[in-house]
Amino acid sequence: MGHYRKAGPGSPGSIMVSFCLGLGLLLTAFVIPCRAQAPAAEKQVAGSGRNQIRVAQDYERRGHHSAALKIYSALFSQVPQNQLYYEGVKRNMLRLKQFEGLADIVRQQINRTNSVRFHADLGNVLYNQGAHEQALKTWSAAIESFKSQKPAYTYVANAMISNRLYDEGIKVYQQGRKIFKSDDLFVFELANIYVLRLKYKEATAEYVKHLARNPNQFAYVERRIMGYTKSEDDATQVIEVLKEQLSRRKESHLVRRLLANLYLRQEQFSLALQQFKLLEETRPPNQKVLDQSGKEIYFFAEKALKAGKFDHAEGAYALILSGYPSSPYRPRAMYGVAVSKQKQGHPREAIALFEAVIARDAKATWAQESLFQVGEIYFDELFETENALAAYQRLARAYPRGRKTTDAFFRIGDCYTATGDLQTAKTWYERAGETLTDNAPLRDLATYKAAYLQFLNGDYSGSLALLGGILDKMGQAGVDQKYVNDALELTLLIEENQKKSAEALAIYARAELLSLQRKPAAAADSLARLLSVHEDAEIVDDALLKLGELANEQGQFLSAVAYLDTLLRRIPDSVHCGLAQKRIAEIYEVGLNSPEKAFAAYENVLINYPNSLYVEEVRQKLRLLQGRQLNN
Amino acid sequence: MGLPETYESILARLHALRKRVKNLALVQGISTFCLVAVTAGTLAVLLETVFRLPSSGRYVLLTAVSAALSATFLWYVARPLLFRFFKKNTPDDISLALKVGTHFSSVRDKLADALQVFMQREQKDQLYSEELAGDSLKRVHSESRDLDFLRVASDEPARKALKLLAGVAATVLIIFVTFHSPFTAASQRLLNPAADFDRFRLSLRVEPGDAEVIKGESLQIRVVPSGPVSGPVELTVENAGANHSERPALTEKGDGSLVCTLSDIRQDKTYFVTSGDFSSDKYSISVVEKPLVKTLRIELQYPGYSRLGTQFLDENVGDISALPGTKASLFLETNKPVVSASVEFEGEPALPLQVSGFQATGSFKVEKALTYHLLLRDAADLTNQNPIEYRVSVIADREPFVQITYPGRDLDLNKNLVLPLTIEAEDDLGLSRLRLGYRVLQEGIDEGPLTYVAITMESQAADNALVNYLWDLSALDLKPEDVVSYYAEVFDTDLVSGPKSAVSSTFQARFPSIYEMYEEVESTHESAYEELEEIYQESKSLKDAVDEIVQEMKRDPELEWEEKQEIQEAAKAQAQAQEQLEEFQEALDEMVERMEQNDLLSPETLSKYQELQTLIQEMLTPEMREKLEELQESMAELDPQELQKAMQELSKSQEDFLQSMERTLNLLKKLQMEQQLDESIRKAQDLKRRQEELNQESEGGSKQDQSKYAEEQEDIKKDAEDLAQKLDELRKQMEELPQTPTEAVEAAQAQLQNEVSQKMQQAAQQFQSGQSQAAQQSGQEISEGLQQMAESLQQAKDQMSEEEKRKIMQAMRQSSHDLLNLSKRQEGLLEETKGSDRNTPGLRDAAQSQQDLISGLGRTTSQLYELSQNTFFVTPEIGKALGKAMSGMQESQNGLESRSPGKSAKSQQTAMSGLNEAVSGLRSSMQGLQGASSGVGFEEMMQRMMGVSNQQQGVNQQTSQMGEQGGLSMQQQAGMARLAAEQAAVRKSLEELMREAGKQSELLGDLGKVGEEMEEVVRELQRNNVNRSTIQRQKRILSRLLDAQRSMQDRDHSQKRKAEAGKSYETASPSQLPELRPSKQDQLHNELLRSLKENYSKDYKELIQKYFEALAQQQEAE
Repeated sequence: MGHYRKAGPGSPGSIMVSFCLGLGLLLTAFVIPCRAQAPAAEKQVAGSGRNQIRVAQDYERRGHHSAALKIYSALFSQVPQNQLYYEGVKRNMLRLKQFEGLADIVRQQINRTNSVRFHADLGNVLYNQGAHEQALKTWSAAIESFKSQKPAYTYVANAMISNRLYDEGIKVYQQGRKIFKSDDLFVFELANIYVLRLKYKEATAEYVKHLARNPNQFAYVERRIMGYTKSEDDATQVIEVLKEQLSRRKESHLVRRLLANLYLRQEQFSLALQQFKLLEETRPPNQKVLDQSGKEIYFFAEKALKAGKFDHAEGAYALILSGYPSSPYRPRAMYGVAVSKQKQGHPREAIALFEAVIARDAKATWAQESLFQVGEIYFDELFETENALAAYQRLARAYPRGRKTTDAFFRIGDCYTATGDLQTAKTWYERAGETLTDNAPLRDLATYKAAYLQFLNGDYSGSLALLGGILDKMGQAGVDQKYVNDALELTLLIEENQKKSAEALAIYARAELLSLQRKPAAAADSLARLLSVHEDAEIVDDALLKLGELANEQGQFLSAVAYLDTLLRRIPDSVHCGLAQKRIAEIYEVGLNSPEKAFAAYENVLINYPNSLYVEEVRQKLRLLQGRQLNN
Repeated sequence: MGLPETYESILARLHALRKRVKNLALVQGISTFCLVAVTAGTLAVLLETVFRLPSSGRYVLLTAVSAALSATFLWYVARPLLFRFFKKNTPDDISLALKVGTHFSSVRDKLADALQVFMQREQKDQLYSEELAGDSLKRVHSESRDLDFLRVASDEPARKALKLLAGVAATVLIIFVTFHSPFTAASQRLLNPAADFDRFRLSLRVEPGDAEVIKGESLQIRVVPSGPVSGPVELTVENAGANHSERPALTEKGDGSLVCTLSDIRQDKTYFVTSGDFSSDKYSISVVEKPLVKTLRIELQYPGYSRLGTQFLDENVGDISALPGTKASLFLETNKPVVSASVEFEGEPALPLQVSGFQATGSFKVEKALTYHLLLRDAADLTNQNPIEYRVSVIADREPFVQITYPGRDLDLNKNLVLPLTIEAEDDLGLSRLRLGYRVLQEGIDEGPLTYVAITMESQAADNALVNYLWDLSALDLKPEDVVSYYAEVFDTDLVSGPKSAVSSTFQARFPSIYEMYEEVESTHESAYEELEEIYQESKSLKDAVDEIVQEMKRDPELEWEEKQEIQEAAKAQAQAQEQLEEFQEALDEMVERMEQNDLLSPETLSKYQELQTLIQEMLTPEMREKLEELQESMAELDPQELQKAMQELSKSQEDFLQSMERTLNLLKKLQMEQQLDESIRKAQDLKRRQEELNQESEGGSKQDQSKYAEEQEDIKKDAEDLAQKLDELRKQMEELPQTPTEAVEAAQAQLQNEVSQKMQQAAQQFQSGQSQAAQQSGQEISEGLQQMAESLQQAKDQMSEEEKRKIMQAMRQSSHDLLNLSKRQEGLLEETKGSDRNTPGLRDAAQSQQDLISGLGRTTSQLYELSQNTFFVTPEIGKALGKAMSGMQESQNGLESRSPGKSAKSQQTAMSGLNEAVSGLRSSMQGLQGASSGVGFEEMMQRMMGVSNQQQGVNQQTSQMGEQGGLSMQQQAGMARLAAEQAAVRKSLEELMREAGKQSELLGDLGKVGEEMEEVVRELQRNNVNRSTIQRQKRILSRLLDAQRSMQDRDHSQKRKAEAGKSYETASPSQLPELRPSKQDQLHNELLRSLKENYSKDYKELIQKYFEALAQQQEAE
């Protein structure tokens, strides 16, 4: 009976036990302080290690792997549990192809800490050593041993991927999914591999899967997909998948939005509109409230308008007007239709539409915008300065503190400039400037306009003084650079010419004014006079370029080419040579419809002006021309 | 459970109890025995220690202890053992059952009874039936089943005994450890009761016992032991009044005695000797002191002529080294009162000193070399021991010394005829004056009279002088090929025997003719070009070889031994090419310096040479060296991939190297041409000068001189023909380059060859035939012809400069136009992308447009960077603005590519801002360029530098006039404030100049410190605190500014300067410059760091880094 053999609390055996315990305590008292020194030493190593790590990393960056390895090895030997040191040793030994040594180290780590990451590393080393089969066995053994740990799959798959074993990596992740019976696992890991393998279809399928379960991550998923749908071919693959998913999935709203946006990004406007329409129709019932109707179409229309696809935009706006009578987007849609018409070259029609917007609700924001646009059409497109002036003035009267009022003031000034009434123009610019107490950039615009008037009047020093005001605060915050560059341009023009050829500059300014007054022939005459009277003036190249432009505008293509060619021959080092040569090519291509000559002229840009800013544009043109020639 | 099992169970439990009872008794017994043993043993040792028992006593004690121990052992150990192992059933079961019953009240005697009944159940006379006995046993068993019988035997007594034992043992251990020695001895004695320990007792005799010693002397202590020595014999010495003692070692002598010598005894002591527990008596040592010199001070009064005055020697220094006649006064302090003291000279009568207690004084005159010591005597007639023997040496006045350390060699004079000299002179007693002796050797042969120029030394009668003297030789009316032989002479201040003088080595300065200088330059130029071309060709073939290896490696990365050798050879050859280039650079530097000094070049050409120097310096960057090192490392590591990479990089570096070489060669060729044009202008002017001199000379000349004039005219003609030849060559060279004024040169050549030369011929003949009137007429015409020719050549040169300026202006216009264009296009793109979001169509196109803008900006930047190599007008600010633009564009590009137009919009604004700033910078530069005399902008910088210097000079003068004043009036204070403002304005001008000078500001030297000094002066002026140091600081500032001006080529060799007499310049000494350099480097470095911190893209950061590196290298080159 064992019970009796057991020593009782007061037995001699228990005394011995107490003795031993005492001895143990005594030993502990000695040993603990000794052991306690170990972390301190570790800390010390860590302290000095930080500096050494920096040095090692520096070496590594410079590609001195041997030197980096020495430092990492020394640190690692002191603190083998430090992952940073271990990784450093591993990385550099791999680079230096010291596989055997590394394998030993990894094995030691395995013996020390049986972690799956080291098993994965061992496989990696073996694979690098050329022992491919052994490596694969190591990895599958690691998966087998740690199959219940999710990170195991990531470690192993990563090791495989680092050796370009993408398919094997995919298999490992899929195995993980099976084991954990979760189809949602490793979505991003798998998707990443698919992207690496250019399998965009599969990657998209993974993302869609993720999206189905995490609808609030729509923006994130869309960004990821965006990352690999830059080219048309890739986008086509993704579109296929999305379409397929749409047919399969019930909750297709988000997928459809992905598809619609992708069509939009791909500028496939018809298809995009189709999807946006469907989105509008399939809007979830709880969101289907009155003030949101037409939202999807409106979204499309705005994007199309922004992209310059005015016909599509017009169609979409019209759809809102016809299909969604209660949509809050109707006023904007009306305005949008008018803008689309305007941009498509139907100014009169556009004016009528804009007027309709104004008539509908004169107090609405779009009414102001419309009125301004009416002025713009009259001024810029129809050259009916009087009508333009009337529109702008109407706006200024109707909306004295409206958002477009100041713009209208500027435009009124422009109208007066165009009529040659520079004094009145100046008053309007000043008035614009006065209204802009809290808008520094627009005040600069007012100053610039005033300076420009001075220039046109031949008061160069006055103009320069005003321009100097803009340029002086160039580097300050809040300065709108678009007025600064205008100011710089005018300043340079004046400074380059006013001393040597003030008279020529005056003629040039006169031609500018005539141009503004839409009197191209008179402007051209003026410039021609400049050429004959001041043939050595600095401004001659500007004059020739302008003459070329004016002739081109008037459809006198051959004259335009002649002027530009004169510029190239007479002033071969003019700053405008690159542009002049490009313009010649464009005139040949468009105006004179002579692709061969255009091609040769474009080539001349590349040959004669290789540093020109137009090189990229010209190359593109050449490619297009070449393509066209091949098609013909 | 059956009855038998129940019975067995009870018996087993009782058996276990029995065993425990016996075990506990045994443990308790052993503990008790040990306790008794330890206690008895300890008591016995204690008794022996205290009473030191005789042998019989120890026997009794030992017997008693043994008896007690035996009895205790028998009772406490042997008996329990016997019971434990031999009497197994004692106590019997019934007794144990009764014990159990006593312990457990529920059992009482039921167990004993039941057992007893059960045991006796088979006996016949038993009153109970067997069933009843069994039943009783079972009942008892069931009642006692849960009781632990072992608890009946308590372990408390055993525990107590053990604890007691432990306590006693610990106490005994502590006692033994504390009294280790006596207890051990007592134990030994106790264990050897028969031994007679008293026979071994020790006695020690100590000599000399109490003693008296003279301070500092030694004392020997002798110890004679008798009887056995139980332990080491130790001597203990204690200083009087000290708490600690010393134990000097005793040395054994052959006779068994031990000795120790106490040396240098300086205070009273006591001592005693110990051995084991034996200790001798304490003895005392008393110290008696002898007199000695505690402090000696000597004052030397030098003779008046030496102007050395009075000098005190360091304390306790008795050796005297002085001029004859010096009076040496001695002041002594002694350690104790003395009755007499004297200076005991060697071989001379002693000099008694005046004594007063602890002090003694006296003096003597130094006349000859001898030795002496000081003798002291105290009241006890004791004299000082071993007095120090001092030496008296007589020093003689030495000859002065002078040398010309710069130039320190024979040399050719510069065109400005100013020879900078550095003269060093010294004398032991002082210098009185310095002069320069020279004579002119006309054409190196005829010796002229010896003439002296007095040179002012900074401080009179100083024992050394370093004089920087600019010797203006223009007043000597030197002719080409004249030689000036010169030396420096210095005098000392010896007024007694008359000043002694010394002269330096004699050097010669030769005035070479302009033709000689040009010839030399030309030949250096030729050889430099050839050398450079050679390096170029070698490098070219070397690159081919490297390319071939690279190709080979692409096919097969593993290299054969031969191939490795080839690589080694290629690397070596490349390194050699680098070295050759370094040598070439040195030669070029020397040549440029020479041309610069002799004013052989126009400022424009000179600045181009500097550009060339920079270019070569850039080629000598450590990059190639690093690539070669990397190649070597790769070869050592035997990594084919790394090696291949290294080879490819080397090939790339070689390509860059070759490109730079090619550019250098072209530049050198162009420069040669410009240099020749400069040369021709200078020669034409020289010919004209000579012709005019001849014209003047011949005007009042006699008929006898006509042939001499004819000869002179022939000489001029010959040189004119040479010049014509030169112009012809120059024209041919010019024809190879576009847009060069060949016509002008051709016309000048034709004029010289056809008209002027013929006229010269005619004039020479006219001189020869005595038609002096006609010859003069011809001479006049020749002068005019030469004037015209020089003018047309100058026009050609100006035309070239103008052309260059126009080109630079054109390039700047192009760049500003392009940048404006980019800014506008960027504006367009911004408008286009404004308000977009990630799904806005067309962002891809926008990103492409942005990329196009980046490419355009890249090209424009490259052009500007290239332009910056040729002109000062492309400033670092422009570069910075371009960096900002590029960074903005790249960020915008990233934003558009990642479809983040919002992020992109901000970057586009930044890009526009950068572009506009760059245009604005270019605009300022173009304004500067318009008014500049050349495209380089050198003269403008020079002019402005002079302006700054003049301003500073004005401020200096005013400050000096104000002088050091205390308690300033309101008016004066206002004056100071005005001066502070003026000084601040000068500082601002300097800063602006440095900023605008941009990358070429290093030509000005380091003016950063000057700025700091100016700031300090401003502060001092503002505080109304003008003192000597303020004025000195201002002088230094001016001096540095002038230095900077000089460093900008020192090209204003004006007539004004020539007319000035030689004067000492308070210039910044050359040794200061290197100190200043690092701060300039730091400045650049800081600028670089600042630029890099700004959020530029990686590529642009690299570009900025390269830009600054180039600046730094150029600076180093300068």
